[in-house]
Amino acid sequence: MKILHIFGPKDGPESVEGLWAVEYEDASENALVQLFDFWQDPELMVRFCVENIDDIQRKFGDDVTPEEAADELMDEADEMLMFLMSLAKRETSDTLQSLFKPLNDLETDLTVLQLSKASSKTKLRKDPKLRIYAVRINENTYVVTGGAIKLTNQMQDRPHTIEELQRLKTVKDWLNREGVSYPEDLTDVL
Amino acid sequence: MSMKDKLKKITSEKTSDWLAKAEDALAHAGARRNARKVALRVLQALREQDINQADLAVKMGVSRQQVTKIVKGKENFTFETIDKLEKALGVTLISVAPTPQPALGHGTLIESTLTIPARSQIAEPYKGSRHVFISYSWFHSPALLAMFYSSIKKVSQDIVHKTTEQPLELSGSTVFFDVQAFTSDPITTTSNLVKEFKGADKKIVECWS
Repeated sequence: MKILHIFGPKDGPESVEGLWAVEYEDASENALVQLFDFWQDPELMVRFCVENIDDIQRKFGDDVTPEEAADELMDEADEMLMFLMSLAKRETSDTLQSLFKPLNDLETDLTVLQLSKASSKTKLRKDPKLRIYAVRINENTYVVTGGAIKLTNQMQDRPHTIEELQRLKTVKDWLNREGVSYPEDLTDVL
Repeated sequence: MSMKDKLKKITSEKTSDWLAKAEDALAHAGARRNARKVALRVLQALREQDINQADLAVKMGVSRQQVTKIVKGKENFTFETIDKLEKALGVTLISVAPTPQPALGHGTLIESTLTIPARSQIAEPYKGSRHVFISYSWFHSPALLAMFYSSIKKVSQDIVHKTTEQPLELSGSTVFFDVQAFTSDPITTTSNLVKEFKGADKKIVECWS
């Protein structure tokens, strides 16, 4: 397992702060590229909606077709993409820290190696279904582990979100073993 | 060991191409969206008619790889391909709307101000995009609304094919159109739009890009 720097306020080889993504063993792309490749693929999105049609119809309404739901989800993915790009290009005053929240809704403090999530919640989209999952290394520094179409209240409710939860924990443990867990170290180089 | 060194130790030698891919996706957002709509319609027809992609390729007389491109929203369609798809699936994928015949006097403008909303009023998903949104009050008459679409096309000239045919979103009684992404002079375009669309007193309130 390795990580890649995606973007950050300090570009270049000395950069630490910013968005990172995990590159898993045997994976052709890093976790963020894989995620958006999935979210932007109509065939895969429809397949997911067909396989999870009960959850889809509970979220979108009984009459929704898999294709209509996929279309809506892909619009949401585009919104997420635009927001990340606005962060990458510094076109917004928002930060990664305003995008990512603690995975556990009951956690209010931001901590090192905290399991985190991001969604495209806006005034117009009060119930976003897409999530990007990441481990927070430090202020405005996150390592993306994956993402999901979350249609249930708890990640433990469905196999595909359980898998993402496991990935989060695995990456956290790995970062911990590699010693990426001391904020004072990070402060030294920022 | 400093954090920088610790991260360096676990950092891949590869360079991420996520930014380049994301920029490309946003630069071709309109074409991608259309290709996606067609892909979804094709997938729906396949599902409803219980046809697999290999059978569709045979029916169309194209390669399986081309069908894969279509259902993945990667195909840059020709009219010929669209025609083959429509015949193979028995569905209509695209149609060209007839020239609208506005029926002035049959509708009432409920608001006569042409506005471009302040950045703070723009819905979050569209922030950060290099678009200008022209909002116009919703008309009671569909014919008047059709005339407004037509007016946008006239003043947009070379950008006509890229101007949104339908409102991007509806917010209360307001319609948002995306025009600026395809013109270097949004103020003039908007001003021409005001002149073009006669029949009510209008003014530009604010413009941003």
